[in-house]
Amino acid sequence: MKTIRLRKKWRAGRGGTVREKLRQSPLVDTETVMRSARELSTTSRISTEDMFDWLSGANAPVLEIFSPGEEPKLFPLSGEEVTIGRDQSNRLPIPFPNVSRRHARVIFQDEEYRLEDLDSTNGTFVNGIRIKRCVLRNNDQIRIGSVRMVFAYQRIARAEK
Amino acid sequence: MSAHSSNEQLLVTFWGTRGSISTPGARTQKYGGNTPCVSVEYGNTSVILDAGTGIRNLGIELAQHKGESLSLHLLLSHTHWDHIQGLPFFMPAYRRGTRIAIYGSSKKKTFLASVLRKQMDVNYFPVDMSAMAADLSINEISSPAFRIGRLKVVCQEQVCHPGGSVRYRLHAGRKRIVYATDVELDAFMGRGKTSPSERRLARDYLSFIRGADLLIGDGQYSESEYPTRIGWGHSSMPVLIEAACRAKVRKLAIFHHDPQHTDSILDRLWDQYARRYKNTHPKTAIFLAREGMTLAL
Repeated sequence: MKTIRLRKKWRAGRGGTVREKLRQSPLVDTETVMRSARELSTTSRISTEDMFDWLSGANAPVLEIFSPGEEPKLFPLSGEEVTIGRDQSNRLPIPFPNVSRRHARVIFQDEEYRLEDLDSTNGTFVNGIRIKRCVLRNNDQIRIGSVRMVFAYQRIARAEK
Repeated sequence: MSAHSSNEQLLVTFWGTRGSISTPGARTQKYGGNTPCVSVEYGNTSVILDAGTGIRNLGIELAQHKGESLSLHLLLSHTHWDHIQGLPFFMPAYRRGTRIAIYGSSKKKTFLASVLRKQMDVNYFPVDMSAMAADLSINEISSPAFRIGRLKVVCQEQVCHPGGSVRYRLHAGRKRIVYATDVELDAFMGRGKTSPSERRLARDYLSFIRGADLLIGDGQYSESEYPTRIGWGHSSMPVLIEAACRAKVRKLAIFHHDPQHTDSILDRLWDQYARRYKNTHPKTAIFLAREGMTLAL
């Protein structure tokens, strides 16, 4: 089996938090990942635990959020529905006046993340096009009111920062 | 696509945007690898444009609405493989109680029903068309305008494509959608095309698309690719964009992506053309049609 060389940053232990999150996530088949980690760790000097983090952390989806006057934020997506809107009751509240109370939602359906506009006043845009629904792809740029987001697949470790 | 959209929104969904042949794989994931299929919903009227491989996913979604009787209308631009190959995999066609009306050109030497049946001949496909349990009607269009539910359909034959094709304009209240794929606009709207017949074809095309809220148009090639593909029946992007802008189209979806165009190539082309036309034609929103995208007009 080919030995995988990992960059130093991925060798660092990630602690239990990541693992717990991943176990809760419908995206990750924990058993498969653990089995892969055990196999791979026999050919490298990396512990099964660290390998687990490395394997399962790949391709974790996040929304990178850029709100006016605020530091960029990362919002990890776990497969659960995420409503986005001005109201604090939304899973992802973005309190700006040009955002509707319940503006849009991100759902995980048929193994894909989808963005759906909830009949908002000012619309939901993907790469500049006003959409009703859209399957999300890596690096898609979303605009909701004056808030911009990027849908991206990243390592969970980065999302935790 | 739901069985019936709950309100009066006009919804357009791209199920397949690729031209010529399906192109699955990671390199075409963003814009999609399925061949042409677009659905249009207006109230309880559902129209499908073309039955390329994208219609399979539409069928899977429609099949989830069990217990509801579906009434579907399929408008075919023509019967080249990439526009009909998904039909044998369209699940609602095998469901009793579903009504499917298929429409296509009457100007062909062979009957439309015969062409579609032959595609499911045992030499090409294991299941005969008679296995389709839906109430299937195949109609050769006899009138340039007709109604489907609350939609008015206007159609016109296109000549600059091998074997011909049909373009459709759907009127939903005051909204207009034009589906005009598989046409070589460069053959009559490109540089130096000024003969009377070319001018007439250009006039007909511009008149047909004028003021459309959405034009789904053939833009398979870049301008540098087109000279080596003359006569293949497809348009270059700049000629399509310029025609849409001249005709004051509000949204242009560049469609029928070349199978050789990966996501990164399409992104690069898009960047190139968006820069060129952004300032000169700000009133026409131009984008690359993308599988899995629904627009509300």
